[in-house]
Amino acid sequence: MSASPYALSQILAANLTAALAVAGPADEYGQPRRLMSTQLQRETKIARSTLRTLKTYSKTREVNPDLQTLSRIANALGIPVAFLLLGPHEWQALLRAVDDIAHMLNAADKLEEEASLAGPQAAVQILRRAKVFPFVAPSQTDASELQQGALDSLNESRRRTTLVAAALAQAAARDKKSHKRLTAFAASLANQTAAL
Amino acid sequence: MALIYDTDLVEVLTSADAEDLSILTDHITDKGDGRLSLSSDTCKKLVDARVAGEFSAEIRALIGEELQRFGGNSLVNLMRGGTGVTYSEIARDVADHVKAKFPTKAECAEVEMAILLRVLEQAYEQMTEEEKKKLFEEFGAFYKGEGAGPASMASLIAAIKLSGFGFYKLAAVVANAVAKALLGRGLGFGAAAAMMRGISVFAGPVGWAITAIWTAFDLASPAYRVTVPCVIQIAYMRQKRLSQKCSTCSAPLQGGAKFCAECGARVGVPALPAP
Repeated sequence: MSASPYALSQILAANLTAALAVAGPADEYGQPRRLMSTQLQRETKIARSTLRTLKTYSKTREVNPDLQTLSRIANALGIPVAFLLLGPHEWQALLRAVDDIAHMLNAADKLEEEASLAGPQAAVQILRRAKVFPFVAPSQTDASELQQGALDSLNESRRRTTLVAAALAQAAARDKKSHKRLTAFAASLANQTAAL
Repeated sequence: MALIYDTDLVEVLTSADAEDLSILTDHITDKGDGRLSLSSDTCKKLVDARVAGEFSAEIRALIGEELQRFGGNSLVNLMRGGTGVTYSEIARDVADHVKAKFPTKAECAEVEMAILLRVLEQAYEQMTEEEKKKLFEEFGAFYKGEGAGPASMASLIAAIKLSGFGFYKLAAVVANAVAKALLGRGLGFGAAAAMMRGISVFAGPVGWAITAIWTAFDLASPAYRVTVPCVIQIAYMRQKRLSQKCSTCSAPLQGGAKFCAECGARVGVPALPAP
């Protein structure tokens, strides 16, 4: 599920505030200190007024920074740009996906014994093997058209999320082993992300 | 001899009858098809016991062990060195996820009931007016109609708590529906068959509530496909056990006992009226 632009500006504001609170040079006791906006401005060449706007969430104002602005801020903070836009739900989903990785890798191993893990479709097969996909109607129950429709659309959305996650993750693979691990991780993440 | 060390499982598993353990085994082994994190050796042992209809002390202990291990998988077992977690932790984790309300120091049975009520609440939203009416009747309550809104669910919960066999029946309604939805067969109620005659009509809505639960409550992890139905089945088995009391002295009866261990009265023979 994608965040609305307003929710995304709220996430960005909260992330920037939390990051800046600890991103400065350590104090004399080694404790983290705030990164002053003047310093961030020097490093990123982004106006302090722009930084203030990004840091302050307002329901009535839509914030729409360009990629270059986000990229400069992320570089100055030493984090991937994606971290600036991850909200609490996504962090939780990542955590749950990591929790399940052993299970998904196990499924990937079993699949690999029988067939190739090539292509994003392999991630969908992993979810099938892990018995978390597809969602099925309760046995011995007649599904109404509405219920079956909801189930079909849930399955279709899970299938697409999984394929997209796998397509993105597999692009990073360097060898066969990392391809398998990335496919299993994409499957695990899609299984959790679709629940957002 | 294998022992069950978990105090919240020992009595339930030790006294359970083969029919109920067979359902539990099917939930763990996915009807004998096996699961990725279940060794083929363990799966075979459990399936053999289910087919033979005989659950030795070792097999009962194995069921408890496997359940704790699956619970460990959903509660990041790797951090705990691969050992299982207590059943109480498993039940509380499921309860937390489905947002069931229970006191911090609640006993295991209380946590299980909170889960069942939450599942019923989810199912209630999908019930037709006729099904809602029947549900109220099952628990000796009067359904005031759609207009009553959330208050009607509250009055149903009150009726369940007040009714003598309310919790047992609630557990039967939910566990029966879950077994039907996931395994394709319901529970065998044995001596309680007459009391449970009407409950199969709720299998549909409760079954759909369970189907929805995997996505609605952050229960997408594969381990929950085992722990959620198992906690529900164990909740039923616990309530069934608690409902079996000696008709003479009210002491709890061991499963399959022919005589009361406290007063020696024959089980199934009504107490004599006071002179």
